[in-house]
Amino acid sequence: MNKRAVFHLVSYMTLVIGVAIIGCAGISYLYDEPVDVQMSLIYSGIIAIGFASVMGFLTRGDINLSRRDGFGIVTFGWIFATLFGSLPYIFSGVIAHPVSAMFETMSGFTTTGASVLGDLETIPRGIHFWRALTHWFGGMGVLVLCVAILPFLGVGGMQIYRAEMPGPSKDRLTPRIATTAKLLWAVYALLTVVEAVLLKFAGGMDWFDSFCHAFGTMATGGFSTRSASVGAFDSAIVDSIIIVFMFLAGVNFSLHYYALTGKPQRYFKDPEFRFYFIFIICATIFVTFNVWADSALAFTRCFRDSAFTVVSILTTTGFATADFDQWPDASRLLLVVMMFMGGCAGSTGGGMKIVRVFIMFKKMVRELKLFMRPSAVIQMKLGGKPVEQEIISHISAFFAIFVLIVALGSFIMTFFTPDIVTAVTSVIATLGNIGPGLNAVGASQNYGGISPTGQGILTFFMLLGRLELYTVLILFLPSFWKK
Amino acid sequence: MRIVIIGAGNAGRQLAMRLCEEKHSVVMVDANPQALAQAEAGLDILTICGQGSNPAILEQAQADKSDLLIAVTDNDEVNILSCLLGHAAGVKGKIARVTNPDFLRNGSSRYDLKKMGIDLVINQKHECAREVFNMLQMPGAIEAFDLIAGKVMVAGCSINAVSPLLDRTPAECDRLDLIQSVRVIAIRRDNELVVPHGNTVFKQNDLVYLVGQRADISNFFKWVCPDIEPFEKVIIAGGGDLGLMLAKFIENEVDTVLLEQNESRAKYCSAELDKTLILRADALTESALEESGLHDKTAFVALTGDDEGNIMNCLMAQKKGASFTATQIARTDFIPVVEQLYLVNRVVSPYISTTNAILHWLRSKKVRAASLLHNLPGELLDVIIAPNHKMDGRCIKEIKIPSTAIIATVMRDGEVVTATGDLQLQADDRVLIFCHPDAVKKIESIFL
Repeated sequence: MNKRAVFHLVSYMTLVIGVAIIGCAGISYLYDEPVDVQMSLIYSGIIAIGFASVMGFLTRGDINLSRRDGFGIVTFGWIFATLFGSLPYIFSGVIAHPVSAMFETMSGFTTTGASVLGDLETIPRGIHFWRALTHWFGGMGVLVLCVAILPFLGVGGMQIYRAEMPGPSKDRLTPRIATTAKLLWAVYALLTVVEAVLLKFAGGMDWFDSFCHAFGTMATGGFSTRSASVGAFDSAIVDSIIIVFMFLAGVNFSLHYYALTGKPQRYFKDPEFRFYFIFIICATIFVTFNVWADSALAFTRCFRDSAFTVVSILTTTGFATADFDQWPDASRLLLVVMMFMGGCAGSTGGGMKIVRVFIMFKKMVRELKLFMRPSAVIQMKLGGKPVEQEIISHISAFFAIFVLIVALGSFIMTFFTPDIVTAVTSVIATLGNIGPGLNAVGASQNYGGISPTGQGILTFFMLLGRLELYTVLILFLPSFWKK
Repeated sequence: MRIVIIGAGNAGRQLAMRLCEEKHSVVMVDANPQALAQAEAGLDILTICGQGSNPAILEQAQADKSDLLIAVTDNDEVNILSCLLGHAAGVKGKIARVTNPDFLRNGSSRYDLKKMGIDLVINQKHECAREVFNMLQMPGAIEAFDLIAGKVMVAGCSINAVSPLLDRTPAECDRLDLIQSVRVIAIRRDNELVVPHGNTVFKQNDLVYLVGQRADISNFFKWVCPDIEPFEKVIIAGGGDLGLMLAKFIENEVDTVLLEQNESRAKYCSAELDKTLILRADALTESALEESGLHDKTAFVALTGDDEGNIMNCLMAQKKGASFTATQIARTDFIPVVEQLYLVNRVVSPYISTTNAILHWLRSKKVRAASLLHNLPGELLDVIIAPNHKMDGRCIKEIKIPSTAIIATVMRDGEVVTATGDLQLQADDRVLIFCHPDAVKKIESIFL
């Protein structure tokens, strides 16, 4: 690994973070908040910018990145972003323990949405805005943003893009990777603004809430400005807008780009999208009837809550309008299964990604067929195109590692949580970047009850999940560090 | 510019690399996924797997939105067809690499590829043979090529221990008439480009580049490199397309021997050539080299398709006393190694020749024509002064050009005029300017 070049790029990213934190001080000033809040943000920003300048100067020189360096940049980039991003929480006194502050920041950047904060209404708006902004940066990827804006990266940009974008194979919309990164960020920003405007004018939120929630939705994050999450607004219109945009955020952004450039038919030609769409409809119908049969609530209310929860969990957003922990076990278990699945490849969602589950399912059917007729030749296809053997074995390994980490992580978490369900779902909800789990980390609870050590472990799982295991785990190979 | 390159072979990759450096958007199409993966690993390009002459693949590559389509696969028909399809889709520039010389015979213009909409047809063998020919014509030259229909020549030579220029400035030399007949445009010293002034001192191992008329350059070389004599014989190993083409160029200038192992090919070569002696023999044997009459004033050129064999062959010829050896190397990865070890006097690569020809054409869309030098990070721009342009009537010394650029020569009414400071430019003058790549834009803004 070329350490100098890696940390040079990480310093550019830290600079972006520092500038953004100072921007939040401006928001705080607009809302006439106490000077302390603004000062804590400004100090945090200055520390980040100062550090970035010194590190950038010390590591100056040519940038020539190998595939390996891409993984290093992304992992260290995220660690540095979390370190500096947690400063505003600590300086403003919102979160006292530094590990908890890091948990909250990592939860923001990885778009998990798991929080250690109980009473959100008492937190200053400047801090709230920074919290929502971490989601927005992390959703499309802060390093992909750097690829889009730094002109000198060249082929190095592809190494970073490959390491940060989720999904088994990476789409490339244009010949130059910087242009692709720009287009994806543009689509992302456009959808965010459209949602914020709709939430303001149709949903009746104020500008501050509408933007914070739009950041949380499009990044499939889940941080709200209210303790009761989106349920606090109790509006069918707000719920519907957020359902639609959570759904869109869970779709491959390349498809949005094609749709915006006049090819909306590409949506339904995509097998992953079809599976995602049909799965959401079926799951919503099942959960609606399951919940309706069990509760005294009206059918429409059950439908609204079920649709919201299904989309929120499948896309790994983690907003809540109802406490799904009170629902029947069948629905709760289905939600846990959906936590594993996650959004589509190339979306901002987490989890294992629909396309991986879909290909594994097809592989299972293929193996069964081969068991019956050993001499049959069956080429795996996705949307009519053959899937390379390399990608299939890659996905099998991903599955194995994912399940192994859930098992091992749950075992470790039993030492920090009151019961097994909490331990298992806390790992799934952080590794899959969802946010709420079940029982003690359920929709109406938060992660504040887990000790800082436990929070530290979950912080690592969030990073693992967001960067899709390999990017982080590869750093543990001794050969990675050798020249 | 958005550019589609069809063919991820050596030429395609070389081109993609150069075009990426110049910040163009490159899409590469090839039917071989491994070749694409190799290209994509080192370059910021979009790759599409499929046959380049397939309309569905061209659609996927969005050829219609591209400014340029370059087809450099091994197959002439695929190259031509993709360019024709590109033409139908409205691509502005189409370049095809065509190996079969029958496509290029201009005698019967009825079947002219240019009429079918292909803007540039490149025969890479022809480009390469021309380069070797120039090299053999100018012994001692590191690089030599002609411009403007052979009127002006650009050549480079290195300063060795016996050179009369060593450790002197141009003014201190005893043959001022020779120095003034040509113009020194650049010096490469320890891989750095030095733009010369009146008081630049020439050092040992400097590569000096000159521009001037062919005869003047030739005379200058004889004086600068007194230890190098013209070749009395040229031996070409390999009677493939390249060897045959070179033999055709050179057989009227000097005694030529062509070694070809395959009997029917040797017969074919014999039918095509008039003066060349053709020997049917394996060039990699000592007896063949002896039979060809190799002696100390001989240039040996290995042009078979086998890189390793070519290099070995040159070493054998050196051992036998050949004063100059040149080899063709197809694998571009070998070139830096062979050059650094000084195994042979010169390396020629058909892929680099093709790349240069294409880049040359690309540049010429803006400037009238431009050339690239292999060993020098610079370009020669060829501009014509438009009537009533702000440069019309301006003295050369009054023109403020960047320090990394130099006005090499001026062509007026078909004659070369030495570009002294007092020369007043006129409308329709053709001005040759050498400059560093950074200064190209600036020069364009001054003269266009």
